[in-house]
Amino acid sequence: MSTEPRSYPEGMTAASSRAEVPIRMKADVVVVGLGAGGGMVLHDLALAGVDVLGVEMGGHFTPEEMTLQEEKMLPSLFCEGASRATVDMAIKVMQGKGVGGSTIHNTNLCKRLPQAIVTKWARAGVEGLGPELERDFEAVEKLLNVHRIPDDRVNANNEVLLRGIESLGYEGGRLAYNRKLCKASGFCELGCPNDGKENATRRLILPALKNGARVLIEARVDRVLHEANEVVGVAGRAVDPETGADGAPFEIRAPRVVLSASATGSAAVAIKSGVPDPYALIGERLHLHPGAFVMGVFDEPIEGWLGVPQSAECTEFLDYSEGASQRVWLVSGFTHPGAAAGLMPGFGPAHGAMMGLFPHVAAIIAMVHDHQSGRVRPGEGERVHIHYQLDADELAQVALGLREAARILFAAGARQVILPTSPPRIAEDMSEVAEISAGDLGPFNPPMVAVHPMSTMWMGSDPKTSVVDSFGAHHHLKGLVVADGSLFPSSIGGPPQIPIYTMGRRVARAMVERGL
Amino acid sequence: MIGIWLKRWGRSPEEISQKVQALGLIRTGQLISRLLGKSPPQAREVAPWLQNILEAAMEVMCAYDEGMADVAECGALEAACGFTTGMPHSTQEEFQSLLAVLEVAPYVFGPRRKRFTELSSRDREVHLQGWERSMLAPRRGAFGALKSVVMMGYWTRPEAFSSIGYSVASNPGVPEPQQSQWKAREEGHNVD
Repeated sequence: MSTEPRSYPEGMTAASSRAEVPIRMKADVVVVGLGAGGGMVLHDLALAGVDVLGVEMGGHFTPEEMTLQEEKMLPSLFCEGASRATVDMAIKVMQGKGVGGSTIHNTNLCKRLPQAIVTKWARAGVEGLGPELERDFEAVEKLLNVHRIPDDRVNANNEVLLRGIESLGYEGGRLAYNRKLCKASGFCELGCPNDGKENATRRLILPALKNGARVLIEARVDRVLHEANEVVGVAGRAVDPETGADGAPFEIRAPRVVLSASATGSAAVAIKSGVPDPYALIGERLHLHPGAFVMGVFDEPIEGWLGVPQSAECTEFLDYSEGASQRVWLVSGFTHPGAAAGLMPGFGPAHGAMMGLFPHVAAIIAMVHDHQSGRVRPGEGERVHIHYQLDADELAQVALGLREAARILFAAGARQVILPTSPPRIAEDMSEVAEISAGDLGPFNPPMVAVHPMSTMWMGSDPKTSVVDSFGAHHHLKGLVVADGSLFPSSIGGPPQIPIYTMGRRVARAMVERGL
Repeated sequence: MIGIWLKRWGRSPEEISQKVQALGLIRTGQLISRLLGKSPPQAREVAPWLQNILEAAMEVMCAYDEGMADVAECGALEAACGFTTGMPHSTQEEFQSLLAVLEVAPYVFGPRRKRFTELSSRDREVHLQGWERSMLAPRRGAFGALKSVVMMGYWTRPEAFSSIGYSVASNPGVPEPQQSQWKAREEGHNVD
């Protein structure tokens, strides 16, 4: 094994490699977490000439280090070694870590906030959601090279969804993404080996470093330090990238701290730090977009692991209005065999036989635009306690999603549809699954996955009913700012990366305009 | 002895499950280890006796037919253990404690009053089905965690790929040097 010290881009250092104990640093602004929101703040502040330091719990990965090995890359790129889940373990919660956060492993789907959601937030007291938000969306999309996914990038798995919705006359179609050098390897979720994503690492963090920003990686912030109701810095521990063991403590003094460690991580740090919260709001209102996989077996090969994993959606059952009876986003999805085997129902010979169908399987994820919410509390180290259980209304949405995903797959020509319910339903035609209702479902039935945690430190103008103002500044602690999905006052019903990048831009601009 | 201890500890599966929750999974795992005279769950290294339990579960959970890679020979156990070591230390201890609980659970949940590793393949399958379909949510949650690790260990082995028509080496989007490394792995060479 090589013992040569790892080299990083100029301005980036690994906490575990620093000799001093404790590590002490200073900056004008510290950004905690370098995903879409934190990356944008780091970028925009660096370009504005601010002395800004980003702190990231995970590592920095080059394309050559993306080994495409599921059992190794998943623990490296996901929080808690890809083991994060709700406290009852019924919903797996997949959240990224590392320089770029979840934009390292996501599939780059790009959608703006739906107008109905913008209107809802404006009614709830969020300011500045008019033309200036539109301008920010446009600028962010230009910066990240967002464009409609070309025809030749729609793989067989996504063609199934498009064929199915066309046959049924359902609303939907091709999506947009932010990629440039993509070679369609299909390994997006394990980190792109071709550097094909126009993600936070490539478009924001590396340019920020060239403009004077500093980045400390493999460093977990545990507390925001504050005195006399003003932020004075952050403290935490270096994390050994090989063993995950805590290393040297560090302390960074700064009068401004931007929390952008995700809707779970930011709230957990704020609670651990004793950030003033007179109305007990921090960590509440957690939304997840919980989703379930439905698989269709086709006579022809699908080989869904090849090509761009997600390029098509069905929005027929996605109503953003209050009290909507249909709130399901249907989108193609596929995973490589290690994760796929965990999602296939059962075990033993029957499970093995199902895995034998792998090349002929197409999959759709039914994701719920959740109206109910849960809450997050801090745990030990990077662990968080996510309390979230689907109620009857949400289970009815899951049932709707399972039924309609099955209908699309049959309409596209599936000879069999597999619903991972308990016991599993293997249907030869629609009549066998058409009656599935909320009463047939419950915890672990079906197994659910969530990849979009939101809310927990939401925006608003009233300090009694919101945690931060419309531009991320905490209502009660001077110098504390939030810039990630925590800001969303509600679920958004779609991929959150573009709204998070855009919120990062709003927050950074407001900081500069306010003199930080 | 284990049977007597469990009888004293609780009269029904529900009662014992509640006690495990109240005591905490890690402390339960430590207690079982002490009773069995084995090393306790600890982060960064899965003790051999716990590896045996995981392998016994893998053998029945991944079994299919002769066309598939042999669990014992394809490195699935090492891969599964390696996967868990990327988790937070307390999660690793919880997972190992879950294995310790699994070892003695047949005394409570059947189908025979024997350790899990001493059950026949058929009885291990019946026992694991009990976890998968249990009315007790923590037991179903534990099964989900076990299944994730088991499947991640087995189905990431290049030896298992050919049985499902999957290949990384033949993926035209995979660049060098990853392509060559995967070609070697899929041909049975150890390049890690």
